[in-house]
Amino acid sequence: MHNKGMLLGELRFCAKYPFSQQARQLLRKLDVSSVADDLLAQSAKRVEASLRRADFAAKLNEIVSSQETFLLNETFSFPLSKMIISLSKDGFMLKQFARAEAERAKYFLKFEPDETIRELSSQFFKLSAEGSEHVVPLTDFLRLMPKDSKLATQSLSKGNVSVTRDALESMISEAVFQSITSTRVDENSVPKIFTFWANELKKFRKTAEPDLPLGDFDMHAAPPCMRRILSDLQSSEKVGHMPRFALATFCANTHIPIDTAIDFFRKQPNWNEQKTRYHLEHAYGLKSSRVKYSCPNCVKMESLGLCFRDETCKWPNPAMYYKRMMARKLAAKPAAK
Amino acid sequence: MDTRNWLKERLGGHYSRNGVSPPPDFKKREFGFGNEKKIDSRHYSFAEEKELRKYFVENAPLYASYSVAYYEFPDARPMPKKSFLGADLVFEFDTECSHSSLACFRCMSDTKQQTFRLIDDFLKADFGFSQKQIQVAFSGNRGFHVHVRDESIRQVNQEARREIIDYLQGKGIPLDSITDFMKGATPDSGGWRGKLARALNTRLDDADLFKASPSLALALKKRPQEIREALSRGSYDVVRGADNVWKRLVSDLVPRMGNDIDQSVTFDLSRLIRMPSTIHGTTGLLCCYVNDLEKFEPFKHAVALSSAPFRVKMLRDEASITMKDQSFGPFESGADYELPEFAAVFLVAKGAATPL
Repeated sequence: MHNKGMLLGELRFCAKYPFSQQARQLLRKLDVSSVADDLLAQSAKRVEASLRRADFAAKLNEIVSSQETFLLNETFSFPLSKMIISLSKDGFMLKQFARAEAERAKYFLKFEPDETIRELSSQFFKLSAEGSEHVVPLTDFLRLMPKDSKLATQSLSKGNVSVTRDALESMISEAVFQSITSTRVDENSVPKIFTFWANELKKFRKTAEPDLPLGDFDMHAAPPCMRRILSDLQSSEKVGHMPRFALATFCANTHIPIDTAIDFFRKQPNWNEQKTRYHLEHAYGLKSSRVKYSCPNCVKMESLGLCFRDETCKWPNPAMYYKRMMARKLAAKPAAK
Repeated sequence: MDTRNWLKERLGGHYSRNGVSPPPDFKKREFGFGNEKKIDSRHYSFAEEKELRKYFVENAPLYASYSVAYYEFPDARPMPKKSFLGADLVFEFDTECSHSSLACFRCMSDTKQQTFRLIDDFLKADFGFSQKQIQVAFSGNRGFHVHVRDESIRQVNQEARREIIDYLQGKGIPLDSITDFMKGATPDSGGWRGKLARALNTRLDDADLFKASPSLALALKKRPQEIREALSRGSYDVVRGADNVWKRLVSDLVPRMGNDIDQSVTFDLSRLIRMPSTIHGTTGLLCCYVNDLEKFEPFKHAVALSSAPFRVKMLRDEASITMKDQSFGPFESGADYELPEFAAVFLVAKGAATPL
């Protein structure tokens, strides 16, 4: 594949921001039916790298100092990576990749002039200027809201939010994340070799993060919110639907055996084993649609008034808290002889 | 006759005489109906308006709801198979009161004020929605629903809707460093900073407000002109110790979300909400759109059942009620009364009387 008519500076831009309109223009030249093996291997490596801690500074240096072939491959490997992950049907990996690419873009944007930030912003959302202020529509702001920011601290008027340059960088980053996670690829539209790389990635993921052997429930590894619900369930007071639902989905997502989970509800005044089992089997995805319900994340738990955060809460989801705490405990345990 | 069947007969008569008006884009909505509970069964959809009308005449449900969401396949199950297309933004205000077992006008009027505040101070001023995009509906029982229908809001996800609720509650305002947060804010500023600055400017004579910050109250007394001018241009550092005044203003300005708004209605995208033009089985009043909220009186404007006479027997003592400008009662437990259908249904639906 050769680049015709693009200046090296423009190619560098595409390599840095392969999601941009400029890069998409270049990507029209990509023929998926004849992608070189090396490029596919590089694309798979890009995904693997996203599962580890990436060195964005080194990557930026590489892009800034490299020539045409490297820049083209760097640009082309982005959509190819998305296709390969999408074929692997591994939602976790897709999200990890999306987050890594979004973080990478955010890092690169820090070194760009305001004009580039404005240009890339306008490729993802409506951006206007009011004096020296950047203004975005409320709905775009809500859709791409920078993490750790709250609408209540923004300057908001008539459906427009005045935002800083930092906020724009975060919004572009979030837009990149969302566009990657919404990637869907039709298996039949790509050559068989893509499926081979998708399977390779699946194998890699298994070695990178093996499923944790969470056999028995360990109360001490549970987050404060779930400990609270469990303790409420042990009293004779009736516990509401939402806390029950939160606990059921928490159990479903932490490999807690269903019979153990059923026992948690036993002391409730309206206890009915058959009904409890029925609801839990749905939460575990064992019945009907066979879709496992996801555990409400900490933001949702908070809005439901079920969050009792303490200094140990370092993860965005109660299930993740439990898995990580269990992993730590298992790592600390001396191996059995 | 069984009370529920008697009520259903009354509602059935109403529906056969008056029909129902389908909600906007009804073909993409899911419907749910109930007789024992608010929703006994859901996942219904109607391809034609006449099918919907026929359902009401034949089944006369005591409660009828429709989805805030639009779906490609509204009757598909489970939920993911419906193929979500978007959702209206809806707020539900409910009046909680312990003053009366039947109807409390004082609390209803309080809920109206909260609804006005939501619409004027937040939906219009901050979020930029126009009156055309906002519809207020009386639920038929204790509260109001505010529907925002606009293409731009349909795709706003659950998390963002939760953020909207947080915004209404002032969640995220850094109360610990509120004076810093307010630095430079003027009454013309946007968002919460502007709201607080405006509130402060209009309440400079409110002695009660300044009880929270005696130093600011004293400064205002000693140097009124200087302080007022400084405050109006956002120079809040002329006085120290204003933190408590700001905190008090935040709590005064937040609509009473905890008590009045059902937050889950706003962020739950699979929520079903009472369908306007239907009768609420707990009151016999009409769930209806309200054009003039200020003048709206549920016991006048939402009375839709007929005036045909019906006899009921009271199950408990009740104070008098006024419906359609007519006064009925007071009622004595065990006594029989002949009442117009709308009043008889109201008492029976409230569990205060039984039909004869």
